Amino acid sequence: MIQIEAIHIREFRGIRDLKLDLKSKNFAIWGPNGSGKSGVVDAIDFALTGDIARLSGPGLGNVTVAKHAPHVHKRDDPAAAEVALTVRDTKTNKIATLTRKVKPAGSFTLVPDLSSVRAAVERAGRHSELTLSRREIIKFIVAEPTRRSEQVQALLKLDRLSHIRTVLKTTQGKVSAQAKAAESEVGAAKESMERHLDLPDLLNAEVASVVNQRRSLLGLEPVSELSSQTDLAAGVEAGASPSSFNKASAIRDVAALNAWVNARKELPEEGVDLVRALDELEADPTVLTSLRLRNLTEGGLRLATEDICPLCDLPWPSTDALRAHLNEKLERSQAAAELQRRIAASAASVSREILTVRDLIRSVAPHTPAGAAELPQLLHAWSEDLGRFSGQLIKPEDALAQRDRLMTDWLAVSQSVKDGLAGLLSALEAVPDQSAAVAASSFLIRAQERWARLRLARAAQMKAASASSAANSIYTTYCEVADAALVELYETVEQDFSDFYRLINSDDEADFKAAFQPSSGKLDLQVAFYGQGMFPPAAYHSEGHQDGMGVCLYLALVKQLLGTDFRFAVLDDVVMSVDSNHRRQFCTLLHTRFPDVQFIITTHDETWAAQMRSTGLVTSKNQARFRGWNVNDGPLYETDFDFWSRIEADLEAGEVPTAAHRLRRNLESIMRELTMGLNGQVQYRGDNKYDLGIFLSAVKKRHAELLKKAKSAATSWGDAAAVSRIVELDAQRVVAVAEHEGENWAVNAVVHYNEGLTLSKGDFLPVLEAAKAYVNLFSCQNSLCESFISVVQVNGHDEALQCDCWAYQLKLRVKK
Amino acid sequence: MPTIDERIMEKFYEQLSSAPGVPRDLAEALAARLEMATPAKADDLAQLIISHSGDALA
Repeated sequence: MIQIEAIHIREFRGIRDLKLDLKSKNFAIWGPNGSGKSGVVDAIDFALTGDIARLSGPGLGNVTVAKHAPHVHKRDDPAAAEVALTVRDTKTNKIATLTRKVKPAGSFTLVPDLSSVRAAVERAGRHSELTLSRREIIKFIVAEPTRRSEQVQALLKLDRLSHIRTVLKTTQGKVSAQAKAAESEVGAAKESMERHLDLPDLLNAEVASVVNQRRSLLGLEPVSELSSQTDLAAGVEAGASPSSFNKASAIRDVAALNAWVNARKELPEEGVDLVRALDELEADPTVLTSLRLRNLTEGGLRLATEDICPLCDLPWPSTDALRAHLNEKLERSQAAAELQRRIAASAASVSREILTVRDLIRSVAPHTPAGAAELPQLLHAWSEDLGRFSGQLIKPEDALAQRDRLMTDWLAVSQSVKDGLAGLLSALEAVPDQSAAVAASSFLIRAQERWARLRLARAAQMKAASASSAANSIYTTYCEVADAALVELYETVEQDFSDFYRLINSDDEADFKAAFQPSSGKLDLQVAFYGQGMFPPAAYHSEGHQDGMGVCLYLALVKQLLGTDFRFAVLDDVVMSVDSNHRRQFCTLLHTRFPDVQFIITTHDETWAAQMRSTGLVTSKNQARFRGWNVNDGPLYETDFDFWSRIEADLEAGEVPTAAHRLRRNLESIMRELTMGLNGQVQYRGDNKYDLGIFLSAVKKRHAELLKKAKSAATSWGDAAAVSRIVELDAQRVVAVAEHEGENWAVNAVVHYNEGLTLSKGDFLPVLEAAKAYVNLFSCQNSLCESFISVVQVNGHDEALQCDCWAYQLKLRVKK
Repeated sequence: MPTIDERIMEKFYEQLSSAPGVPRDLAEALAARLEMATPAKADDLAQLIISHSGDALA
C-alpha cells in the first residue's frame, strides 16, 4: 500500500495551483464550506483511480471527468489539469511521484518508475473506498438489508463469491437434470427389454433362462451370467436368419402402445395438479406479470445505485425509495415464484409420461411393414408433436397456452394413428408363425439390441449420477466453506464495529453492541439502544450517532479487507453530525487503534481541527487551513500551525497587538480543549458566551485537583517514584501558574485597547514565554505525540491522567 | 496479501480435494477454471464435471 508524501494539484476542479506536504503522516484540511477542501479529496481520488466518485453520483448524468474535472478556466485545455502525488510504498519505503492528467485520464506516469511502487499505486487504485465521504459511510447504516449486503460485499470485494455461489448452484441443477434424464432412459430401456423378454422384471436367472431356451434350440452355448461383456446373440450371426423381426416381441410392442393409448386417455394425477396450478395462474393475470417481471426486477435492483430507475429512467426521491419499491415488487412475486415451482414440478411428471409414450412409439416403428409409408410417418409426426408439447410445459406462460390440450386430449393421438396401430396389430397377428429357429434367432438378436441399449443407458446413468453427486458435493463444500468464513468475518466485523463505537461513545453507550445477521443475500444489522433491546440503527439513534456508526463500520470493514495493508484513507467531513465531545473520542479512536494508517481528514469545523491537534492525531505542521476561495485563484490557504512561531514572527515584525490577539485566540481554543479533556467544570451561561478567563480558571482548578488525586493514588499503591514525579509536576505547575498570572494581564490590556499602554516586543516576550510554559504543562513532550493530557474515565470514575502515547501517565484510582 | 475472497477460495480448493465424490482431477480442473479471468458459466462447469466423472463400464 501507499502513503502520501506530498500533493501538487494544478488546474483541477476549483484549484489553480496547490501544494501540500503531508510527509506520510496524518493531515487535516479545515475551512468553511466552499473553500476548496473537497477539491483536494477529488484530486487524490482522481490521481489513484482516474475517476472522481463525486462526479458519478445521482443526478450527475451530464457531468464527466473529461469535461468538468479541469478548472473552469481550463475547460478547453484538459491536458493542463493534473495531479501529482509523491507516494511512499509502505513495504519497501521507496518513493516515487505519480502524475495523472485529465487528458488522458486512463493512465499515469511514475517517476522513477519503480515496480514495487507501481504495484502499490495500482493496488490503492483498486480500492476507491479509501476515499470516503459522509454520503458513502452512512449508506452502510441506513440501507435496507439487501442493499447493505450488496454494499458491504462490494466494499469487501466479495462480489465474486456471490457469483461463484450462483454459478455452482445452477451447475448443480443442470447436472442433476441430466442425471434425471439418464435415469428416465434407464427406465425406458428396462421396460423395453422386459417387454421383449416377456418378463415382469429383469432378474438374472430368469433372463438367462429365457435366453438360454432360444440358444439351446439353436445349439448355442448357454450364457451363464449377465454382465457388460455378455452377448446374448453370440453365434447367431452364423445362422441362417440374421433378421431381428420377432413376431411375438413385435406384437407385445404394438399391443403395449395400443393399450397405453386406450388406457391413459385421462390425465395422470400430476397432470391434474398442473391444470389446477395453471387455473390459478390464469385467474390472476398479475401473477403472470410478476413472473415475467421478476427477472427484470431482480436485474433492476442490482443496477439501482442512483435515484433514477435503471429500467424506465424515471426519477425517484431517493435511491433507497426506488430500491424499496423494487423489493416490494419482488416480495409480491414470491407467491408467483411458488406457483412457478408447482407448475415446473407437475409439468416434469407429465413430461416423464410423454417420454414413456415416445419410447413406445420408438419401439413400434421398426415393426411397420416395409412399403407401408403412412403409419411410420404418422407415428413420427405424433412423437414430434408430443416432444414439442412436453417442451411447452417448461415455461408457465407457454404451459398456460397448453391448458386446453391438457384438459381435453393431452396425448393428441389421431384416429389415423389409432386405426393404424389396430391395423398393425392385426397384421402382425396374421403373419404366419416363424419357425422355431427363426423365432429363436430373431428373439436373441432383438434381445441383444435392447440389452445393449440398457447397458449403455445404465452406464450413462451411473456417470450422470456420479457427476450429480460431485456437483452436489462441490456446491455443498463451497457453501460450507464460504458460509463459515463469512460468519467468522461478520463476527469479527461485529466485534470491531462495537468496540470502535463504544470507544467513541464511552460516556453514554459503554454497553453498546451490534449484531449482524447474514441470510440469503441479506445482511441485517441490529444495534443496542440504551439497554432497551436491539433495533435497526436508524430506528432510535440520532443522526450524529448514525454517522459515528457509519464510520466505525467502515473502519471495521476496511480492517478486514486490507488487514495490515490498511495504511491510508481519506475521510471527507465524515463526522459532521457527531457532536464535539464524541469527535474528540473519534480522534482518539483513529490515533490509538490505527497508528499505522495515514488519515487525510477534511472538516469545516474549526473545533474539530483543534481537537485533532490536541489529541495528537495531527501535528501543528500537518494541517492546512482553507480560508476562502475565488474562481481566479482557487483556495486561499495556509499551512504550518505552530502558532508560537507565528506569534514570535508577529513580534519580530513589531506587531505586538497582532501577537496578543493571536495568543489570546489560541489560548482560548487550547483552554476550551483542556477543560473538556480534563473534565473541568465551568459555570453554566445561558448566553453560551464562554471566554478565556472562564476556561483558564476551570483548567487551573481541575489540574491542581488531579495532581492531588494522582499523589493520593500513587501513595496508596506504594509507588514512591510516581509520588516523587507528581511532587515535581506540581511544583512546576505552581511556578507556571504564578508566572502566567503575573504576565497575563498584558494580553487583555492590549487586546481590549488601552490608550495609555504601549508594549514593545521586549515587554511582550515574557508574556509569551509564561503562556508557553503554562501550556507545556499539559503537552506531551514526545514529538511524535504532542497531544494534550486528558482524563480517562471508567464507569464515570477518574482512572488516569494521560497523553495519547502514554509517555505521560498518572494513575488516579486509589487502591482499596 | 491475499484478499478475503482469495482466502475463501483457497480454503474451498483445499476442502474440495477431500470432498466426497469429487475426484482429484476434477477438483484441480475446477480450481483452474474458477481462477481464470473470464467468469465461469454454469454450462461450462456442468460439462467439466461430467467429463471428469468416471465412465462406468457399459
